[in-house]
Amino acid sequence: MRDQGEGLTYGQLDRLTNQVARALWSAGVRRGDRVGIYVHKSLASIVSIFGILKAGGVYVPLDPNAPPVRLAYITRNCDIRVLLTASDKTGVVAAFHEAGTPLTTVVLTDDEARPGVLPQAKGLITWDEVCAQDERPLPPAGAIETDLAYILYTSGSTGDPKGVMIAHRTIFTFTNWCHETFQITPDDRVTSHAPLHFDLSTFDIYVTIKAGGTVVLVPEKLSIFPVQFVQLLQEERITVTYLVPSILSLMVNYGQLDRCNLAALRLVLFAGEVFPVKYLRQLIAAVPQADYYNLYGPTETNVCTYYKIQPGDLAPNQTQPVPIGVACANMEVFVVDDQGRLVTHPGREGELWVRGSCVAQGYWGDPEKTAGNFVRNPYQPHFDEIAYRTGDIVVLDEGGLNWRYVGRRDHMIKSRGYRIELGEIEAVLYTHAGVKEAAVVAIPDELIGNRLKAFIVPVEGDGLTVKELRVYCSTHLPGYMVPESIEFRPELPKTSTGKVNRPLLVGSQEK
Amino acid sequence: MNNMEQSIKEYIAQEFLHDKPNNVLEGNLVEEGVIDSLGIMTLIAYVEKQFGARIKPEDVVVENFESVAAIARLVGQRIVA
Repeated sequence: MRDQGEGLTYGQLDRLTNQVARALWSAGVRRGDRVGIYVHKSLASIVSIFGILKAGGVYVPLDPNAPPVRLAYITRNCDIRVLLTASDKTGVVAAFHEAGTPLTTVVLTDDEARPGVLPQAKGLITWDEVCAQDERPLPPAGAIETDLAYILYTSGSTGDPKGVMIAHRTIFTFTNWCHETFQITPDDRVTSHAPLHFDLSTFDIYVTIKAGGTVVLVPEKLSIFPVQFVQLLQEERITVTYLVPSILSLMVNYGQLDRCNLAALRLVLFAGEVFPVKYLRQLIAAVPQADYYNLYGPTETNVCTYYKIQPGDLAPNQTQPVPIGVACANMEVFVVDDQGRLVTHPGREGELWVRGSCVAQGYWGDPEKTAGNFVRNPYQPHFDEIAYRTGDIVVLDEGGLNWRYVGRRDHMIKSRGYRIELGEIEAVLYTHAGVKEAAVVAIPDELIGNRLKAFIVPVEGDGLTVKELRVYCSTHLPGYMVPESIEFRPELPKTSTGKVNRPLLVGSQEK
Repeated sequence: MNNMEQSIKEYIAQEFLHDKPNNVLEGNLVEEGVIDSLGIMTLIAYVEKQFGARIKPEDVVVENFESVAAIARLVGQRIVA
């Protein structure tokens, strides 16, 4: 593991995570208990993950930039009693604990303890105390493949985030497939760019560790600056990187790839959103020796399809995005049209369904939402099994082999690779007393996928301001969900059925 | 503080500050998480339009965006006549 000049060997990681596991065990963590990780990407994040798993716990990464209200919700929702955090985060922990959480113990992952800012009466385990634990492994916690490994919270359409429950076998399936397909070796040096609450992070960590390679953590602040990120790729001699297309597009536009030597880079994976062919073409021209793959899958299935980019995909007249491809090993995808028939002919489209061990266990504490998307598979009549309906519309390409992404059947959108339910933002806007009507639309954007714009009909005489409403949104939603612009209107356009006419609102914004 | 710094500060306060207290504008904008990967592009578009500056790709480094003063210094050097 490498993080800005600091490092951990596998031996050190093993001993340190044994100590974390023992500290968690002493705090009462047992198999299946949820443990929060609330730190910026660092060696401590990796140590926390394996410490929790060794104790038999289920890790729940909390977005280090999310507002306290949302953190408190997640902590309550999946009943997090023990939280690993850093000393510079304890002020926020105190703030969200005030909002009501079941926390009993806070474990610090560094030794810069600042006494006084932690919630009083909460159990505190300092880093010194963790390091004083026995270095030998705990007895096995007894977790099996269908036990949960982690829960990732993702945007929910009705106003609260949903916790996607991922079992060990899901991550095994994914890790084994990646390891074989991409032939990761101990010589590989792999970036860890995505934050832990984003499922791209699982490749960086698990696949690299399975191969005994080197994980190179990319500090959050570097990932904002394309030139410096590209320098890191060069200086760390990165061989494999897995990124969202918006970051790759920024690299192409601002990274000065022509001045760098990225000869070591042999594999570039991308997922999370559509990569405009224009930028993909430029990227491949700048770094021609690497293999490029488009990976696809919602958080609920991790990665379920893949496609290796071919020269023909980049022909000058080619404008359509590359396919999402075919199912990964030990998974099956099938497509159901609006008549309920399986799609088998090129050019036909339908909703993508997924079956196999890649499918998540549902949403934590929400059997109703789980039942909506995780359904009994009617196309497999011999025994009961669960398939996941992705809500993504895909089409079978001309060759009859690869699937291509077409769009969504609902109001979920992607921005910078994050999935966002427009309904969740609207639900927050409606909770403000000054809002009479609200509609949030996504304005397509080449670089980042989509920009968010809110249209608001204010309550008359309330004196509501745009600034006030944005501040309100940012106290309830993570930054990537706060509308970039807000426009007040006396009324919203409606369709003949009385629904907000979203296409008209989007159309009014496009140049 | 000159006019340009003041305008940049007001723009950042309006666009990126959200629920963060005003005094983070005096600190490190990157460390405080005021500016993220989308914010940086929005900010560049703003200073280019507002002050007639041309920000080059090699200018987009952490040192030039850490503080309001650093941003103003960069913009001052990149104004095209």
